Amino acid sequence: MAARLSVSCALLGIAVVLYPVFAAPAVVTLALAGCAMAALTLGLITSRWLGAGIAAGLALFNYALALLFGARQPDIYAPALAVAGWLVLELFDLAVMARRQQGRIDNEVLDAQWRRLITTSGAAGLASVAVLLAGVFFQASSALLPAAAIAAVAAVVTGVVLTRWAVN
Amino acid sequence: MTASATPKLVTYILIAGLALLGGVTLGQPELVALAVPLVMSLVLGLGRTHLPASSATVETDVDRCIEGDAIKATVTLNSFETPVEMEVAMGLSPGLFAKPTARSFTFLVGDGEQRRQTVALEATRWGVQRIGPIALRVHGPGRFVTFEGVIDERQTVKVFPKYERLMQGLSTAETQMHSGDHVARALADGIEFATVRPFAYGDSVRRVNWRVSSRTQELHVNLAHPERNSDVVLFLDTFTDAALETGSTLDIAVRGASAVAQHHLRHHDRVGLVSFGGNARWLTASMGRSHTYRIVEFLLDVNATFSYAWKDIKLLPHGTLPSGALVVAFSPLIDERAVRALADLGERGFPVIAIDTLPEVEVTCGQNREAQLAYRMWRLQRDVRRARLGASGVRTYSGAGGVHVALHALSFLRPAPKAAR
Repeated sequence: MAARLSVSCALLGIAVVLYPVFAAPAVVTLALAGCAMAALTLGLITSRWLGAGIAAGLALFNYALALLFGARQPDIYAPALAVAGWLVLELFDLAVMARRQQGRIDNEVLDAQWRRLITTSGAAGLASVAVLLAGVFFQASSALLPAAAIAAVAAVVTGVVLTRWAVN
Repeated sequence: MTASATPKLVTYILIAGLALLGGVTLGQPELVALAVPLVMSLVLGLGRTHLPASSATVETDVDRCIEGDAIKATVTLNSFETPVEMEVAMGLSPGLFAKPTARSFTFLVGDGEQRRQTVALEATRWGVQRIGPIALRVHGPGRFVTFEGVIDERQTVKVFPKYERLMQGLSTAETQMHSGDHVARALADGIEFATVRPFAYGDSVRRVNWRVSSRTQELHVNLAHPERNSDVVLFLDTFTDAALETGSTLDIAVRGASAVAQHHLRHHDRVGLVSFGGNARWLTASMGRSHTYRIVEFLLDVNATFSYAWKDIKLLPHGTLPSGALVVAFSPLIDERAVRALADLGERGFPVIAIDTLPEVEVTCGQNREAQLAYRMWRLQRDVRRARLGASGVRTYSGAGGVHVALHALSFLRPAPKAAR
């Protein structure tokens, strides 16, 4: 169980970490992606969140660089990247827990975890799209920034409510 | 229960904060969109996290058993709030064994429902064994906060020593007044034929030996040995408990004492017990089924207690060592106080048999010169102690190969005659 989760996390992690390299091919983004992958692998091996945190930070920084120097504006794949990045962290958490827990884990626990992952990723994807659209539409005028912020918060709240409704 | 933030919470807050900050400062809505799943997850998880109202109880299918028996312990979990992921780990005494994977388990418990988990245990050592306390770790939604606590819920199981049946008990030099299974030396009414003597006034006509009387033309009567019981006092040296490959010296002592006590009680003898160590305890000699239970309960509480205080047999009350009682001692011959007490008993005229519960074959000698020297000195010291006990009329037998073997060998011997005062 722990091995399967670790492999899934690593594979999805490779995709997330390499995305900025494809968005803006450069030596810096490739080097940062390599560092992030190494940190994630170390985190998976040692079951420590420090590795996952460093990997996420590096990937975020790499993506910010790719956005600044890349040609594609706006990045329409950002919501998918957000959900994939979040799934990497959740899979990392599940892999670490599965490795630490020695005893029997009830099937109901596993079912609840998968149900939460699926519903939250769905709602989070929709909310990310809404936030991205709000940001893009109101990016031109700084006067509309409060409205954009309200729209973003509303998107998040709607996502939370939807997920709670789905999980319960 | 104490709540603690998980590293996941710290990581999520940091990454979400960095993404939002970067998005606002760089004017990149993609970075803000990147933070949305993390923020949603945090709001969902922390919004529903609360101190869990959980309880746990543990029950066992038996409250007493014999070494090697299987025990089923059932842990019942209750939670009256929204369903939470509950990780349970069960504390066990060293004398109970459970597979490491069976000792802990994770459930989803909530909404007032009750979850039960049965754990298979094996009683590996005699004594009062405890199941519990129960350690609970409750993961809040999203696993951002964990609550940890220990529920002081315990169950005790009395594990009796494995019963070793002796083929024959120990012969006693002196018998007591009550009827029993031992043939007394005295001549009186009984079944065991002793001798023939001329008829004397007062002899019963039923005891006349007509064959001898007709041959000698004079009345002769049969004399017999009466069947009497005996007193056996089991002396346990509990000053030290040396660990062996299979158990410990105290294990050997308790199993041996249990076997001897069961055998002699079954044969209508009176059996007493003395636990002579840091805490001196005793059980006056008695007989019967109820005394069997008293002895077993006594043996369950026997443990080695370290003490510097000098102790001798004057500490024991008079009734503990009845006159003429056979004393069977179980000692690793390590502590000088126990050896001295046994020598005292021998010098006072008690027939004493000491079983050495520390087989020398199980003590390995080190490789370097100092270790070899220490080993030789230790063996010499033991030889001196055995010789001193021998001089006091105490016979020492090695418990090597199991106490059962030693007792079997002893059963064919009679105790040494009383030492000269």
